[in-house]
Amino acid sequence: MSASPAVMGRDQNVSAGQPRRDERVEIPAKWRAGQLAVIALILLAGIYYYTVGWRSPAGESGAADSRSIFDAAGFLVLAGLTWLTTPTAGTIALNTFQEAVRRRWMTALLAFAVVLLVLSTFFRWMQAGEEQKFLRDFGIGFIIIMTLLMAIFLGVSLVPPEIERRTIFTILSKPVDRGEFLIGKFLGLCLTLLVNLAVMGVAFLASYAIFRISRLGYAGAMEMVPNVRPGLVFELSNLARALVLQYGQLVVMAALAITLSLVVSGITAIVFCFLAYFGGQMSSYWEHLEQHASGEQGSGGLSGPVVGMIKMVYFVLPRLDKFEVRERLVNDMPVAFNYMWKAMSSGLIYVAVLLAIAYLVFSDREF
Amino acid sequence: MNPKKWGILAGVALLLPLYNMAQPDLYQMRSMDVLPNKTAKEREQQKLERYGPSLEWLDRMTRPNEFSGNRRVKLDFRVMSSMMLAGMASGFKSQVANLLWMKSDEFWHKGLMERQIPIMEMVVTLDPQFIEAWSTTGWHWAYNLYAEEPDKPELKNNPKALRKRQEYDVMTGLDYLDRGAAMNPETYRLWFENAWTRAEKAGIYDNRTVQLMREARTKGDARLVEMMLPDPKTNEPKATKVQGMDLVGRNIGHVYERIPDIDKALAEYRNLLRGDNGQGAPPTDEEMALMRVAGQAWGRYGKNYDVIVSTYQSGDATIKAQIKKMVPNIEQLVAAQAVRGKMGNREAQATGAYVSIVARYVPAWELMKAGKLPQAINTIIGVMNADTRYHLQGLPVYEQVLAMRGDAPAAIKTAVEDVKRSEHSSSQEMGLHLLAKLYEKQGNWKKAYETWYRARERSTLNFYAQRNAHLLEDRFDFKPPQHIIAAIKASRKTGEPNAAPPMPGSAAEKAEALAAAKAAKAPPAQSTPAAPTPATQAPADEHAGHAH
Repeated sequence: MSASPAVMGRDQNVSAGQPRRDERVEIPAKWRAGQLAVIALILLAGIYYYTVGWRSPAGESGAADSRSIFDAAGFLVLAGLTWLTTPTAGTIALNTFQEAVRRRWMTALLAFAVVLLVLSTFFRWMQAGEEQKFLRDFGIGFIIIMTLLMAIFLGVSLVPPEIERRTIFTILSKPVDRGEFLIGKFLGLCLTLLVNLAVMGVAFLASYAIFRISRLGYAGAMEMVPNVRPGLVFELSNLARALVLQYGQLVVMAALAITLSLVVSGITAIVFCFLAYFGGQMSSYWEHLEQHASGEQGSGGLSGPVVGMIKMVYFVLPRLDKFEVRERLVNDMPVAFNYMWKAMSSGLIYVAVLLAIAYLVFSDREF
Repeated sequence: MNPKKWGILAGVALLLPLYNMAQPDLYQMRSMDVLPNKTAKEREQQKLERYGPSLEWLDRMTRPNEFSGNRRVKLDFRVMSSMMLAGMASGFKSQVANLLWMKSDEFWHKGLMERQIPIMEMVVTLDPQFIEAWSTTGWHWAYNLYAEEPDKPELKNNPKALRKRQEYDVMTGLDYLDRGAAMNPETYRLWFENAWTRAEKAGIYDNRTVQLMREARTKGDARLVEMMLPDPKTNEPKATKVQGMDLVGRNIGHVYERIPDIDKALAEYRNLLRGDNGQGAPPTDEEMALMRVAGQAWGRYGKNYDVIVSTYQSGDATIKAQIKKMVPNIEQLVAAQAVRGKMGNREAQATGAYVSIVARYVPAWELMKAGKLPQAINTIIGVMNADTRYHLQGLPVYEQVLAMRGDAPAAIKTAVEDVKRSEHSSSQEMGLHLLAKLYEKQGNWKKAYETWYRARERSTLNFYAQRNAHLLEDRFDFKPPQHIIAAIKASRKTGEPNAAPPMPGSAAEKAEALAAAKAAKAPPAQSTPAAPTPATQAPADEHAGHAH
């Protein structure tokens, strides 16, 4: 295997994509200042979280209101990602986004999703008598599936095609760090997913609002009747929070797809991603079994090796169902900001682990 | 590897355990189960703090066997289809639950009731907010599977095993309704169905049943609701307050009646007679005293005592004087009838129930409270037999008033017979319950057992009597009273079954004693197993025995 063009004629100790310090693009002071400002904002948010706190909805207490030291990890990961987002990484992210939106299958998938979400009211016969619940469930569930497909298929096809088409040589021959390249690809994917989720989310929320208004009239839909209906504004804000949590799940899946695509072949990565998604969706089940398998309650049917396997699976799988709050949505119960942040923070730690692994694999990769 | 990579590797090694340790409160918030045995307030709090699914079903899945002190359905890995797994693992839990529900419906139409069990359990696991699924699953266990048991070969000739199995089915059904209600505390339906099944199918009339009914009444969708209904005059839509689940209030009274706890039943019905669509003040003590006067008049002159009032009001001075002579408190009775009319406009069924309870059961109840048990027993048997020594003592007055009104002698005779027949048939169910209670208080367990048996033979849907008879059977090893069974069976041929015990000292009582002695000499018959209930049993009219 020949060495990459970036390596040829250079210091043999420096591998491809690892430009010498003097060859790296100098980061403009303005960019650094902007990064520092964003980091300061993140830290301020952290301080606010620990001092004042994002109040949970009235009535909640205990776990919902508690703030542990672990919640800080999310702020630190966010600050770290911001610091690593150099101008080069930003350019790669923008290119990735443009490239992604130009893909025909992405456009087709988005169009299909929007059409189906807008027409979802026609399928409410599937749950006669509980149409409202059906619409919420269907809308959120459908968005999850569509954006998940985007995250996985796009995620595994970001880096390997660059290697196959050898376009990576062109990129890495420039003063681009392999870490910057990965961060750029990841952020580009996140941006693509954000835009797609936003479009689908708007279509879903709009069709849901139209359904409610057509049923109850504008005044009726907006009216808050205690114990009967919480009002459209509350419902839409709750659904929007569920979509934000869904984005957190997508970010984890994006990081997983990119990392796996660097370790195994495309098809295998896709299969593993789906397995991880399904396993992660059941993480509460693994968690419960792992915690109670050796306890007095239940457990009699599980043998030692099975419990060991469950523990192992639980240890490495992403806890994706922490982003899942549909039970609260159908009950018209508020989704607390504290809970949202805890779930996001947990996801960000996992993203950091995945990106670090991806970097370790990618930095030693010979093309 | 250079130091930077070592650093990153160390970071990964640190972050992964951190990820596993992180946010223990997240775990707590997601795995919190809303348990039915908590108080309503605690349940509400748990519900508020819960962000994830109930995971109790996992414990059942990993439990070694079905009967290890836990009634809940054992989930078996072997019956979990790929669809169920896909449902658990995908974002379409509730849609998969819908598809499984359709499968369960298909099995129902094919008569494969047992095969519905794991599917139903999976549906409620996947979608705990699927209220219809909880409700139907509870009903399926308590009614359908219960009714299937007698057909099983291993239970056919084993009444005790059959009873145990049926008890298991009913309790499992109740457990579903319990869990469903706890998972959906904001709607009345599962709370009410839980209480209803508990009372009308399991035959458990206790504080918990009442508590569940009360809780159902507190739900937002259980009150009077405003609906746009066509105005009867103009046919234009008009906002009208209609009855939501206030019916449950009557059921609470009905539960107390059947226990029987007459004081609490009356208090409950009084509470239902509030003004302003149930939102106003309860009736005053004076009004209730007049309601009692109305009830006493019913007990004395029969259900049509209002004929006396109307004849008095429309009669001339002579008629008025004559009636006043026969009914000294007629003016009070006129006032009582006016109050009854007023209360009837507020809540007709509660008014009817209140007056008829005062007429039929309060005399015996008051005697019981005074410690006069033999007199109380005679009185309630007298009511059930429409014996004018204890009940309807004023029938001659009623006859005279009808004659004053100008009714023909034949019509008067028919009217009097009708009053007696009505009292005889309508007082039997509650009367037997009260009588059994009186015997229990007296320590006459044999008689109490026979009385419960009369009640269960009179109506196969009287599960309360059935349960009480079983309890005494188990405790004292009593054998089913064949002579009573035969007598009630024979009385059915005349139309209305007669389960009232004969009046003490009467010829009928002697004949019954003779039949009992004969039956005792005959070879013992097996205890009749519980009759299967029609699967689609509709809630019966709660006050069939009351005049409304």
